[in-house]
Amino acid sequence: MNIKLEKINDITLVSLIGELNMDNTNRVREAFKKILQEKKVKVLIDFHKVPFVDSSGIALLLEIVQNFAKANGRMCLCHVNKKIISVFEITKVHKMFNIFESHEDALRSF
Amino acid sequence: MSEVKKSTEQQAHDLLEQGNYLEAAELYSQAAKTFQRQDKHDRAAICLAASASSRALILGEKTFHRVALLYEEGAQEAEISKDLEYASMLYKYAAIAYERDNDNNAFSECFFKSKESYRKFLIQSLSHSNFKQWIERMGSLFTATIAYLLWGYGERPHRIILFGLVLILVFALFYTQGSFLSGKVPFKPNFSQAAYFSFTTYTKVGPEEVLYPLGFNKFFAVIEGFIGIFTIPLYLTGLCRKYLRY
Repeated sequence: MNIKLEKINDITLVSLIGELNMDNTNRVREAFKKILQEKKVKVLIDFHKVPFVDSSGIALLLEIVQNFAKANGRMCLCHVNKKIISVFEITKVHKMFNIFESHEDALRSF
Repeated sequence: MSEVKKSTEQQAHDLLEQGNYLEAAELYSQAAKTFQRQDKHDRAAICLAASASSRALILGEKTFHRVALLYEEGAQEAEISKDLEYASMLYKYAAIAYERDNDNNAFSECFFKSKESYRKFLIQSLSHSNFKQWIERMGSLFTATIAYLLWGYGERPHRIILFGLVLILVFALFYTQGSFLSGKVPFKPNFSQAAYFSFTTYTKVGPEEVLYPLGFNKFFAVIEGFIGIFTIPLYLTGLCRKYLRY
């Protein structure tokens, strides 16, 4: 899993590359901890290059959403593929994430 | 070990996409059991929810009992892992599945737990809200707490009777501190007279006696009557809501 960070105004764009599973959730968790420590509370996660998310990935995403909410921030997801959307729907977490089709739509929502 | 678990979930999802819902549900359940044994309750909750949803997709499914049980177990796991918002959502899905299966007692229990988990989530989230969120959440929490205490979110309507009895006794005590007018004679009521007046004021039931409250008792009688107007229909609504399901 590769993690790329980019800054768009006051929003941090996090591009994840690779599967989000139990082998790499700790790395991703650390990356988001660092983002929060730097007081960057608006984050957009690009899922364009994430082929699959397992239960550890979903648990991590729920944790990140809560951590950003605690910091009065916001986390959105974009470019989520149909397979992952279906995983979110089947596990009933789809309503807990702000999911957008494109960067532009997501950025407008902040 | 981790490879096995990862592939179990992926296999389950592939089976789901191929339309093999039952096999997918079984695999998700297996994964959930592994996570339960490892005390990874957050992941167990997610896998149980996936298993329940997979079962619900089975064409020609006649009973939703197993689906409901899986959602409920998932909700309990989410509660253990302190994710109360997710627990509330899974309890809600469990309640819907029980209702489709005509298991009204289980529906009632899960509906109550869904609301209660959400109320606890609101309490939890107050500490990290900004001012605007705090006001909104405090409003929701206040409404939810009243609904919880007064009639258990509509699922415990008998609580209103208890509430009414306590209210009648408390107001009776207030009335004993003031006085009434009977005919043209003012008098200080004893407790049984005050309790009778309090009961008829709250329920609007019983033979009318010409007793006029004086001073602060006027104010108390208006408040008690006002509460009675709202809570007694609430009791009847709760009772009808519950018994019409059977």
